[in-house]
Amino acid sequence: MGGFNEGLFHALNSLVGRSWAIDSVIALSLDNIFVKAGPIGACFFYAWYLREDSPREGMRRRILLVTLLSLFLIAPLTKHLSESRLAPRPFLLSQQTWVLHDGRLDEGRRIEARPMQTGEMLKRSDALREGRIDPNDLGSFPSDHAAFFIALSLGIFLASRRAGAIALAWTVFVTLASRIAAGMHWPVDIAAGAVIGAAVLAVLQWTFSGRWARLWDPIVGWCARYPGIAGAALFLLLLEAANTMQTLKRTLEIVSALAGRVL
Amino acid sequence: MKARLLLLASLLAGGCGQPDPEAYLFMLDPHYRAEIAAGNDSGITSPDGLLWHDGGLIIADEGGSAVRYWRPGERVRTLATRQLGLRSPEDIVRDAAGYLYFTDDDAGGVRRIDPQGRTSWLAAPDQGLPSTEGLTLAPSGVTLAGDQRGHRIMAIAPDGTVRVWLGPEAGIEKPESMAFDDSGNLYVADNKADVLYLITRDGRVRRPISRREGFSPESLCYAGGTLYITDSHHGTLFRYSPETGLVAIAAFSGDLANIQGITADPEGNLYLSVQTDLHGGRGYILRLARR
Repeated sequence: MGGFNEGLFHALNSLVGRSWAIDSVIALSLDNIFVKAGPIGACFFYAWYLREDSPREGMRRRILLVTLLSLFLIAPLTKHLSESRLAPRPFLLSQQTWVLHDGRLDEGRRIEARPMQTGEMLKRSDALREGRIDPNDLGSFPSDHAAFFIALSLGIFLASRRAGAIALAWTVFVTLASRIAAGMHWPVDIAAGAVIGAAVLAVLQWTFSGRWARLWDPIVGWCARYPGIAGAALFLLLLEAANTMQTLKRTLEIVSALAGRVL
Repeated sequence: MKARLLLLASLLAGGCGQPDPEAYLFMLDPHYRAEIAAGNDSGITSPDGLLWHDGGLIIADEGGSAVRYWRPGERVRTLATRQLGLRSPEDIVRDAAGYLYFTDDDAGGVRRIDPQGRTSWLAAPDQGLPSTEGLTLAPSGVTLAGDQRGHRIMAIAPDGTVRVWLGPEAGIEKPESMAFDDSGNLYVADNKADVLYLITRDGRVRRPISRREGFSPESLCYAGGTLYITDSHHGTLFRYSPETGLVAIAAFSGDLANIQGITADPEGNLYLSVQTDLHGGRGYILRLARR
């Protein structure tokens, strides 16, 4: 683990566990979807409806639709990557640990991570003391939130510099910084997620910016003809994206479980 | 720009460059430290039931379809193998005369190994024991065996006579493991219904822990006035007493998550069997030593 990585973690983590009020604000940005993602969603809609009569309107909307598409690819990719590698969240490593490596069990280095005094992270710390660990807490690398929100913010930035700058600032300083401060992620988890999100977005935007851009014309045209339905659909898609596809994942789990019972 | 890219690359290398760990063990009780007591290089495969005896461990080696004996610093000695019909040895007990008894959840029945090393049936599968799980010796001298398919506990007399000791009306779905406390009360782990049962000396059936979140009892070991409980579903080791309730000792993940059997030595050190890959024959025996 790099010194910069740990140094940045401890600098942000030193903010928590001192004041219930500060912890409550940080917990809001972790647990509350409105605080976590609301301003980013607002930036998306700002970019979508910005100067509807502008000749760049179609291109902007295509960029935003491709950005939404990228989020649906990022979800399974980050899930696969985080499940393929055992990487406990920092708050778990504040316990005494032993690490199995090549058949050897060595005592791990204990991380001085300050615990949150409120919110979901407090519940997870309490659950750990009772021996309960959420499997999701064993795969912190890379951060799916970083991949999602960096891709979304960069996509907004490509469509509208002003809205994108606000979305990026919110993503970095509120959504992602709070995850480091609370002991959910190392900075390197966030950096890796951000690189993955940016890479997937870049590949898709590049793919659909040339000859294949025309593929989006019918959808962009439909959105212009039916702005009410298009706005409603965008709201639902953004809500699901802001929730890092949790509804979709849960639905797939239920369908898979039902299929298992039937078969 | 180049410097920023280098910084990002070094950050990613910090996360990606190191070889991946296979498991983490989170010690929640600071009175213990962990070590590997035995692994595949010691001659075990994928162990289940454990019993401390005479400075070593008697091991129901489920993955290897064998019963073995291992002493620290020595190679494993095999006591009974699949050539005798063993399939999935599950739980082991030893009586005062030196006879070993063990269950087999695939082959059924209860077998015994005499002090001379000969293996025979105490009770065969066709005596109403098609799939046997937990095993313990009652103070009265009978052997109690959990019958998975019949959802009951059977009593086997020293002459091999089998009778129902606790029938399905008690509600136990799978008597996976059993242990008597110092007062003669019997704890029963049911890892299908996720319940810890207590059958009192006067025969009343109680449920000290029932369908609690994150609790599914697998194996029991009563030692030093405390009941130790492994939970293979959640990868957790607990201790329990009526006074303190359920307390987590350690949480296991990755290759160590599937903790199975448990036993204790006279110093209070705990030994846990871990099935990393039952069919591939990979596993460990961990020692949680008291500090």
